[in-house]
Amino acid sequence: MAHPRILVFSGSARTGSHNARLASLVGQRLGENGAEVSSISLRDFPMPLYDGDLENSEGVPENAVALKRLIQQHHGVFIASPEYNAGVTPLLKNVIDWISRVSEPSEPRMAAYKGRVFALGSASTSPFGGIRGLANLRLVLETGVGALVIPEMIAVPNAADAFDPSGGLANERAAASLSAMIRALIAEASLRMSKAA
Amino acid sequence: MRHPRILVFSGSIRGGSYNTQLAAFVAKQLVLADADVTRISLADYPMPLYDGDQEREKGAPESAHKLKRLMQEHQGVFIACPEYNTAITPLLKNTLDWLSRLNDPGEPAAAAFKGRIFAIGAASTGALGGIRGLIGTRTILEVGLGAFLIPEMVMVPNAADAFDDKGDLRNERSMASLDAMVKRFLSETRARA
Ligand SMILES: Cc1cc2nc3c(=O)[nH]c(=O)nc-3n(C[C@H](O)[C@H](O)[C@H](O)COP(=O)(O)O)c2cc1C
Ligand SMILES: Cc1cc2nc3c(=O)[nH]c(=O)nc-3n(C[C@H](O)[C@H](O)[C@H](O)COP(=O)(O)O)c2cc1C
Repeated sequence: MAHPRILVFSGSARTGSHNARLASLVGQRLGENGAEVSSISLRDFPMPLYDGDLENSEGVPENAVALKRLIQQHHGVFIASPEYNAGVTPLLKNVIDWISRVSEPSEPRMAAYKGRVFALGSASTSPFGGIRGLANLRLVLETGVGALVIPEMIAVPNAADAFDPSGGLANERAAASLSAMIRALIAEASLRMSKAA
Repeated sequence: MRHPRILVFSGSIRGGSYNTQLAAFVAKQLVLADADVTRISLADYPMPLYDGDQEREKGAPESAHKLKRLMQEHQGVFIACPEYNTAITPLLKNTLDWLSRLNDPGEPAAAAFKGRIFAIGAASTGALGGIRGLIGTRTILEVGLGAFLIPEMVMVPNAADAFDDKGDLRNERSMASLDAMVKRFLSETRARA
């Protein structure tokens, strides 16, 4: 059986990020279930804050083009997205917006978001698990950039105590929703294997 | 009668920004109604992308402190919010998130957003006028930051043709929504002046 390629990253680049831990757990589970996983950090793709004047004078930053191409080499993308003030982090929104400006002449607009499937999760130090940020991110991806986002999500509340020593989720309900998301993402990514390069 | 002090800015710093034009027009209407208006550009308050490591090592940027204090000198804040991919711009979200981290001893969390009233609007080159971005921005301000926001919003669709040579709004419906917003905003800011 061929293995779907799935890209995994976190919307936080801070040391000790709970969302980076979630991303690495998801990456591990995807790998165990037959996916070929690439894990990256947005720290390695720095981009200036989006500004239309900058785009006019200098074009889109190289890192946005690089990340767009990397996304296009995958059948699925998982994003662990922290919630800041009931919304998406500036770091992640900035990356999504820049990438929305990149497409080759032969491609549809927002090409990186087409032809693959997305899954979302969030870890938060609050008891709500970042669910409001996830709702906002879903709107941006679906309505804003036309991406297909699976309904299964993973929200990890009280993140400071949520991971057991082996990096798994201590809470049973969270662990069950994680497994459901992993299954759905692999199934949906596999369906697209003939489409993406 | 005291004049309410109102801070006005745009979530876009691009030359020719329609949201900056909207901010200018709102400021003009407020001044005509005797408000004391301060207009700023976020270009004068540059902040790096929020990063928890940087915050721990160096604290919040000086621009965030300056903007927080400036907001606290006003009874009302109007923000013109461009819509990018159905949501708030990275620039504006970054500014709000940095501000949310600041409070002096004795102040509540996210102090800049407390004790004053907020109004928002949007100009967009699309036909929907940025309404989806405004809804998300309401959630960020109200639920995320605990800010008090008036219900009236001004929306300017098809913004490239929306303003005349004097910078006034051509579209009657946009103008009506702006009038309603300004009216409520003035009565709420006056009550706090
Ligand atoms: C600017 C800022 C705003 C935040 N707002 C929220 C919030 O609205 N809801 C929430 O659950 N947690 C909020 N938090 C707490 C985050 O959940 C917590 O910092 C988490 O550890 C961030 O993810 P990370 O560990 O991956 O960096 C906020 C944190 C910051 C820095
Ligand atoms: C990254 C990006 C995403 C955009 N997404 C939307 C959108 O979702 N809805 C919309 O109405 N306009 C969208 N636009 C168009 C903006 O409304 C238009 O560029 C507007 O002029 C931006 O505001 P400004 O003139 O104040 O800079 C987008 C523009 C950019 C640069």
